[in-house]
Amino acid sequence: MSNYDIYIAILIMALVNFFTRVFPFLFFRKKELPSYIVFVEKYFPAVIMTILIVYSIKDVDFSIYPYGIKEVGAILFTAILHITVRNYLVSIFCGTIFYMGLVHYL
Amino acid sequence: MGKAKTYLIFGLTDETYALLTSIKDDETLNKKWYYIFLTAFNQLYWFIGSTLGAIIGSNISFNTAGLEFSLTALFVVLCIEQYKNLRNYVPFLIGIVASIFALILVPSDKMLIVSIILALILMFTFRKRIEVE
Repeated sequence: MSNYDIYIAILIMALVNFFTRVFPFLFFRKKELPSYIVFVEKYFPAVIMTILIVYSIKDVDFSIYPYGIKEVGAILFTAILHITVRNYLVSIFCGTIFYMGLVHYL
Repeated sequence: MGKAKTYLIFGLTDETYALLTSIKDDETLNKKWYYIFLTAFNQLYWFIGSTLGAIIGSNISFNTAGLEFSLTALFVVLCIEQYKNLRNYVPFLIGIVASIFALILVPSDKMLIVSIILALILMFTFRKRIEVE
């Protein structure tokens, strides 16, 4: 790809991306949101966060040793840390260090 | 909102979405500027991070194996925050069932979209159950 092609590609991606974001606003302009949208808006974040946890470890092979124990262990470690310490940065930082430790030294 | 809204739509990132859906509104803050700064900072961090990464990454190398877990950790933390807001376990159960089913049934590159579709079907099937909790 030449530089010119790259700029055109970036421009097209930006426009398409922006369109997908503007679309719901155009669609529901000034109208009361239908109840099924309110329902999805309220409960979908919880659903998608759970899906994203699984998604982010989707390439781990659970059928061969060590059966994803490192990932599941680090997730539990992060969760317990967050429930007890209740600090975003501490949980994310220490959870990641813990996982990196498992990957490097086990 | 007006012009600000156009920027907020343009500048929306995963992180901004995640924070806006999990942090409780602080009444003492000006909502418009809070949204603008949150979006702008997150966009700026992406810009700085990607640019620095591209420049530095081509010059040095160190073992970053496992660093990708920071994203998983972020989702874990936000999931717990979601639970604190909702106090309802059903959506999480739906998320885990849908994603594990999708992981088993389809190739991992199509897992996300299949999980979302499955989860939406489950959500509307058990809508009454969810809203009663």
